[in-house]
Amino acid sequence: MIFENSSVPVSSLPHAESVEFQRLAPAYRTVEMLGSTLLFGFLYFGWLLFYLLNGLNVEWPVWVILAVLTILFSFSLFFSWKRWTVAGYALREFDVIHKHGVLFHTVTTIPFNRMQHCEISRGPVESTFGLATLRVFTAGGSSSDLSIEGLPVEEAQRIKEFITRKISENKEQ
Amino acid sequence: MNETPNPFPQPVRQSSAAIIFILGNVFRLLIRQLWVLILVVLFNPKKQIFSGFTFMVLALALFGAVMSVINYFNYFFYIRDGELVMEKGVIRKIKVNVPLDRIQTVNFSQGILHQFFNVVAVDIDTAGSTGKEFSLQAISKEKADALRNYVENVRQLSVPAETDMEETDTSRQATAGNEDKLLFHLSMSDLLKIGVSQNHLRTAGIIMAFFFGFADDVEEALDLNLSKKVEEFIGTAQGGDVIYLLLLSIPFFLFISFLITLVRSSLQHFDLKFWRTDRGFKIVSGLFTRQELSANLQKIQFIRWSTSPLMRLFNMMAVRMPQAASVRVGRKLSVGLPGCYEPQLSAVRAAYFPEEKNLPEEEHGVDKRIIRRQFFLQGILPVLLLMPMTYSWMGNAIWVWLMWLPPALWLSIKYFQNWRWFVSEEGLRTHSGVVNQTSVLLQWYKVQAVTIRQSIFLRRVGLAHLILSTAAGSIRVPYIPMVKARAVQDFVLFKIETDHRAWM
Repeated sequence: MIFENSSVPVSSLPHAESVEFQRLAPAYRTVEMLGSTLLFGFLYFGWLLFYLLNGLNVEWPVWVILAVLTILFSFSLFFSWKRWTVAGYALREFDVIHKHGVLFHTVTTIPFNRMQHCEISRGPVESTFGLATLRVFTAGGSSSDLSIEGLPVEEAQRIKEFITRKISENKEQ
Repeated sequence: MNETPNPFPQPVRQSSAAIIFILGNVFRLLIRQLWVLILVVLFNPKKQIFSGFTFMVLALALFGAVMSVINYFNYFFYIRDGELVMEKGVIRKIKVNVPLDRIQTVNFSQGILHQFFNVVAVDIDTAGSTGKEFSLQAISKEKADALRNYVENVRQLSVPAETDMEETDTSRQATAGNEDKLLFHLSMSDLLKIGVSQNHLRTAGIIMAFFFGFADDVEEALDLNLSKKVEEFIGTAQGGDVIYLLLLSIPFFLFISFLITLVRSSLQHFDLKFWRTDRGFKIVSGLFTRQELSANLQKIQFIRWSTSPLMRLFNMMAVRMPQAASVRVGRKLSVGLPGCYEPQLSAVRAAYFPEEKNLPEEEHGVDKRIIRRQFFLQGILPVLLLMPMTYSWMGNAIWVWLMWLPPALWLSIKYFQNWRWFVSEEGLRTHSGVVNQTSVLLQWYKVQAVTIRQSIFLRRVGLAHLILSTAAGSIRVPYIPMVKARAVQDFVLFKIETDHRAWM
C-alpha cells in the first residue's frame, strides 16, 4: 500500500514503535508533582493574601477564582502523574527514540549520524532527587533537538558516553 | 583541485574605509537609543540648546567616535591552522576562532558608500553555535573574493571524495574555471509584477505598528496627548462623520501600504541576477545596497516555492532555498528568489534533487477531519472572539461577522482538498494552501529528526502529524493515518542511517 516502488519493503524495516521503551526514574514523578504543587502553592498563597487583605468581606468572583485554581491544580497534578507513565526512551543501534507528552503525545527519533553533540544538565530540584536531563543537539537551531528529562544521573552519564562514542564513530567514517 | 595559498597568513586590519562604517554604526546605535532625547533638544520649547544635557549627548558622540577609531586599529583577522581568527577589543580582548570547515556561508553586501570605496561587508555564518558569527565591516572586493574562495576550497577538500556526487562532478567540469551561468535576470516588468503581488496587508500592519509606537514615543517626549486630541475630535464630530472618515481612510491606508511595498521590494530586488555557480547558486540584487547571497548546493536542506493569487495570474512563484545555518542568520539571509518562472524553478529543483524527475511518486492526501479543525480555527474561533469584542461600537451589527462562516467553510474544504503529499524513494514533495499555495521538496537524507505527534483528539481517531526536521527548519504533514506516519518514519530513518553522503 505505501511505498510499493521501494526496493526495500517497508514491512521488513525495523519498526521504531515496536521497540521496548525504557522507563524514566520513578523519582521523576515526585519531582513533577512537587513542581506543580510548589507553583500552585504560590498561587494559593497569593489568593489567601488577597482574601485576608480585603478583610474577609469579598464578592463572589474571589470564590470563582479559587474554584478555577483548584480545578487547574488537580489537572496539573494529574498531568504530572501521567507524564511519567507516557514518557520513555530507547537506544537502538542507529538512533535514539524519545516519547513524551500527555496532551500532545510526541515520539521523536534522531539517528546518531545526524547528532552534533550531547550534554547533561541538572537543575537544583533534579539534583536533590538524583535526576538529570540529557540533551541531544542537531545542527541548525532548536527545531530538531531532543531533551530527555527525569533520568537517573548514572544512567544519563552512561547514555551520554554511549551517544558521544556513536557520534565520534560516525564523524570518523 | 590544487590547494589555493592562504590569502591571510598574517594578522591584517580591515580596509581603512571600515572606520567610516564603524563610526556609522556607533552613531546609528546612539541615535536609535537617544532619538527621543535628540528630538526634545531640537524642539525644546524653551530653546535652551546648550543645556548640560546637549553637552552630554555631544560627549557621548565624541566618545563613540574615538572608540570606533581605536576599535578599528585593534581589529585583526587572519587564517591559521585551518581556523579563521578574529582578534578585537581594547580593554577586554576578544579572540574568536572559527574552524574553516564549520563555515556555512560567506555573504557580501555593498551599500552605496561601500561601492564608492570599492569595498564590501562580509558576513560569515557558522551552523548552530550562536555568538560565534563573524563579520567584517569593510574589506576590498578582491580580498573578500580571496577569502571566500579559500574557505570554499578548504571545505571541498575536507569532504571525502566518495561523498561527492557524480552530478556535481560533471557540472563542475561543465562550469570549470569559475564561469557562472546566468539563469535569470529580473526585467523591469518582472520587478513590477513582484512588487504588485507582495503581501500588502503585512506592510499595512508594520506601518500601523510603527505609527502607534512612534506616536507613543512622541507623546512621551513632548508631553502631548495625541490620543486624547483624537478622541476630542471624534467626540465633536457627528457619528456619521466618523464612519465616513473610516471608510475614506481605509482605501487611502491600503494605497499607501501598496506604494511602500512596491517601492521597497523594487529597491531590494532591483536588477536581480540569479547565477548557477560551480558550487550552488548566487543571487545579486538591490539598487542602493547591492547584496550578494550564495547558496551552497550541499547546504540547501529543502526547497520551498509559493504563490499568491496575483503571482499565479502572472505565472510566477517565489522560491526559497533554506540552508543549514544558525537561527539568527537563517532568518536574515535565507536565500531565495522573490519571483521567477517555471524554468528557474525547474533548474533549482534539478540541481537540488537530480533524480526527482525519474523517480515514480506516490500521491497521498490528508484526513478529512482536518476540515473540522480548519473551520474551527479560521471560522468559528475568530467569529466567537470578534462578536463580543466589537459589541461596544457595533452594537447589533456584530451579526455581520457570521457572514464569514460560509467562506470559511469553503476555505476549509478547499484546504483539505489541496493538501497533497508525494512520496518517492528518495524524497518528499508537499503541496498545500488555498489562497497562498506552498510546495516543498525534500530529500530524505537531509532529515535530522523524525517526530510523530498526536493530540488526545487525534490519538482517539488514529491520526497523527508527521514532522521531518532538517538543519534549516521542519516540514510538517498533518492529519495522516498513524499507519502511514509510522511507515514513513521507519522508511526515512532507514534511508538516513544507510546514507553516508554529507547532508550539510
